[in-house]
Amino acid sequence: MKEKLENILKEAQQLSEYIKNLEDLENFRIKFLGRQGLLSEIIKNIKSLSSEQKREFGSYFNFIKNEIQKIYNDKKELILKPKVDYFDPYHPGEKIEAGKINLISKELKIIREIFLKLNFNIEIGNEIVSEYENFDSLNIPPHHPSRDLWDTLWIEKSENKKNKNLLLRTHTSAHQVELLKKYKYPSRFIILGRVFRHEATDQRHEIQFHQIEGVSIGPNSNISELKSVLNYFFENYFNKKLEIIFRNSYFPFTEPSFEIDIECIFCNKKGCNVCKFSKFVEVAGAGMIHPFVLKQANISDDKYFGYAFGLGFERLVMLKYNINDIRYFFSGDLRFINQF
Amino acid sequence: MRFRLKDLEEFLVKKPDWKKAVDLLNKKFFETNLYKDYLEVDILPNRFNDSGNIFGLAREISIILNIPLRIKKFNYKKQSLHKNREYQKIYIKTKNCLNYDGILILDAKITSSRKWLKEFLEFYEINSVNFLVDLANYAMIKYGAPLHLFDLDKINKNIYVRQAKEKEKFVSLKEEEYELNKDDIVIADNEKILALAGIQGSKTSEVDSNTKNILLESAIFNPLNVYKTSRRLNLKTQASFRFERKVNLYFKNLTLNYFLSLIYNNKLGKISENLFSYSKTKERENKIILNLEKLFNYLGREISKDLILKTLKLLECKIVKYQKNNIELITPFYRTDLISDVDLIEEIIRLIGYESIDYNNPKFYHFPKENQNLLYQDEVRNILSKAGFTEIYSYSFISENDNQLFKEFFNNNKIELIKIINPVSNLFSFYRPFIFINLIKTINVNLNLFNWLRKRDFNFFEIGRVGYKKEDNFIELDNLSLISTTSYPQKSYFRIKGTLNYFFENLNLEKIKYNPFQNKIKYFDSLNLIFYKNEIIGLLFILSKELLSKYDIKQDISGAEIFLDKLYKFIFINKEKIFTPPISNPAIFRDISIIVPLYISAFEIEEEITKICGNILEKIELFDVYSENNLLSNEKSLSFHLIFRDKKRTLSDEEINILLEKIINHLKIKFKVKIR
Repeated sequence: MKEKLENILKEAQQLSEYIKNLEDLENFRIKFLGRQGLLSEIIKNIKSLSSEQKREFGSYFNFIKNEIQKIYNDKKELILKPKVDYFDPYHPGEKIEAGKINLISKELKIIREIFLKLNFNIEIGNEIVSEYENFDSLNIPPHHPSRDLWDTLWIEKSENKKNKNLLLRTHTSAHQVELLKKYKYPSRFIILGRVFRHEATDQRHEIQFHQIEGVSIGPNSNISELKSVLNYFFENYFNKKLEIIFRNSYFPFTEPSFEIDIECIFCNKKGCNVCKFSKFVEVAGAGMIHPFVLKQANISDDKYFGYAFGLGFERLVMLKYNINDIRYFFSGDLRFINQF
Repeated sequence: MRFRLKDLEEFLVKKPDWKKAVDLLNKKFFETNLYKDYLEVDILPNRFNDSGNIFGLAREISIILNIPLRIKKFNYKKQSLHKNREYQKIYIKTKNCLNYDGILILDAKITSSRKWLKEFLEFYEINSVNFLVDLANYAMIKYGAPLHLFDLDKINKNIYVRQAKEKEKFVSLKEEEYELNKDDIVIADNEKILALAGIQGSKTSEVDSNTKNILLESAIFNPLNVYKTSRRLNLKTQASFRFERKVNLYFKNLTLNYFLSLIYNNKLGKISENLFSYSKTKERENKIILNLEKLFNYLGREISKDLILKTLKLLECKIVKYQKNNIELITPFYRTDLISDVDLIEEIIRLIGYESIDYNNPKFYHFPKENQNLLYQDEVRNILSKAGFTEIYSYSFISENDNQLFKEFFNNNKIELIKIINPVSNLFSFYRPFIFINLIKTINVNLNLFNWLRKRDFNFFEIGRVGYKKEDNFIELDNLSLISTTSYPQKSYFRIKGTLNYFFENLNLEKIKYNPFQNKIKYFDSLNLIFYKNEIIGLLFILSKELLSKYDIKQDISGAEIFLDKLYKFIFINKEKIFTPPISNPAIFRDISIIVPLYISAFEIEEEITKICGNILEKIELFDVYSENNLLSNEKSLSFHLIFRDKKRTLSDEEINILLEKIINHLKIKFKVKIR
């Protein structure tokens, strides 16, 4: 008898493994605990036992019944409980498909913000300008070799228009005179935008790029202020303390004229491919505004003075991010754009 | 220009430390690089006439390094002309010849050049001809001014320095023919052109191995004429390069005298007294008053007067007067670039060194002002990037091919393209009138790049300048273009339209309308005008398969071009926004699904429903469209969510049911709709 009970328990334990849903559970209950179940069947035989045996069997029977009831209850609880997924913290996150703001826009914005802090107004200007604006007003007369410093894309004139030659601005300096007239003395502003050159393209040359022209006229607009302004700009733009050197140069619209080099941000002045082992890289041209230009803007060149500087935007960005080819900027290549 | 170190050392008393010299030349002169036995100096136009020669650069080095200059004396003797022989006469017939010396070298010995001279010329990129001609070029490289030699016996009678006649022909040394015009200066005899002044001699008067007598020309021509002629004919020579940069009298005379001394000492011919001398220019001393206060203003601090005087002395400026803060001085005549006080300020500053200038923080002049249009553009970028569009910067040009394809489109918009006279290639022939044309190419680029990944979904935008001519005026505008492509038909159009809705909503521009363009335009499957407050603010379109096949694209592209300039004036709209408290009355939510003829737009249905419901319709939204399965071929099914709410009271189900009944009846009559 006792053996039978043990076998029933064993069977119940084995079968319980296969209970997957409520139906299985009910079948299990009917088979073991139901009115015609295995336990009920066995209890029917109790009459044939002595009262001694009855007591002994009875307590063992109850023990087995409780065991099976427990299996049943546990399973029932497991099945009725709402299913919980296993939480996997390593599962990949949801993919967000937003677009990208172009690197050019981001960097121009950073530059605008730095110059705003330095008290410069932000200006733009037309891309198509007159020969006067781009050259003559800046002391670059026609048929002068200094014009060769800017290879120009010229625009076909309208038939009915006066003899005004138009071109795509070769530098944002083209707006200097116009804006000096507008702002008068004293003032500070930068002009940023696309400029164009008639040029064979390669890793370092493009037919279009961006330029930032800065102008400051006023009682303190001297070379020391310029040094300080550019120093602040470069350190903030590259987020790094940098050594800056000024070198003598020539631009028709500034006198004195100089070029500005910053220490190579890649090699810490050890020499590398980026700086061509010169430890410094050229980043800007600048100078004190030529009296000729001030006169064009109706500003007295006896009393007043100021400085101007020009930054090649793509060149700065290329340095900052170690971009080795200027042609990426206008390529529309997502392998480039999506990196920033 | 490149200079051999040994050529420079010839003029310096002491051999310089070249590494140090190059470092200082870089800072105080121009960009300089040192190679094994030569320097390369990027001499810019203002200083070429005084330092674009060995002697001149040596002087610059002597000033910068403080090494004395070795100045050489030239000796030669001239003979008087044969009295019994009649020589050619020289006439100057143009104001553009500023100076002219004609000297005869008689019984000239024409020999082949020496090895050292050939090496010298090779380094300075000049072809060797014969000893005499080579020496003339040698003198030019050393002292700066070009000389020219004519075979005297090839000259017919007189010599005229004059402007060329229209369409006159010139035959170069390489026997190429050039057509001249009135801007060009020529040296001619009675029958032919002997030389294109300042540029090159003609084959007709060339010195060759049979030459016996020579006319030596040492002249100065108007730089403007030389520049124009050389550019127009694309004939650039060492001589033209120098004449363009204004040969100055000091170097002209130095070069001439040096060359004559070489002839004399090498016994290469008999030098005559000048056959002819003409000069419109004189070695004039230039007087400048330097105001020290101005110098200090430029520097941002004072520097010692001794230092200033010392520097001026180094530059060989003669101090005439020194009173209070004014120094009156005379500049050396070889420095014709020093014209006004600012030129001297540059000289002083570069020589004392830019590193000696302090740093001074900017003082406040005015409150800085950001550009409003750029701020607006920033906002546009934020919105569109959030909407899944990636920003592109493309070229500001379109090609000849683009022009052909979009001709009808441009004509219908009454715009004429801005043409570039000298485009870099025919891919960049016109200034772009719309941005989207280049974005098509960007799509092509990326479809190819990402083909291996089967990535065919792209959304791009660009903000930038465009321009065109309208009624002969040049117009420049800021545009925004969106473009989208997917491999599913029609999806790109609705993506653009949905993005535009999101875009306008974010810019707080309400009640945007889209109306089809009046004409059917070639290459556009659909072209719509976008209206805001009765003004056209953009275009929304689907490009045709035919067009796209020309750009090698095999899937749909739709796009929009928004005229940003027209939106800038609404920039403050956001700031006028007033908060509306949420309505606490409960809303009633209903869906209706109807079957309508295919040609009826969901937009029309929405408008009609809105009209009937009035204020209590808070929102209507199309959420399902289909036209398959059990529907007739000319039918489609539309389903809308309707949300009803009243500000003042709680709406009852009954009244909404009545309203829906009314809507349905109305739609049945007006559009012949069926209820699903």
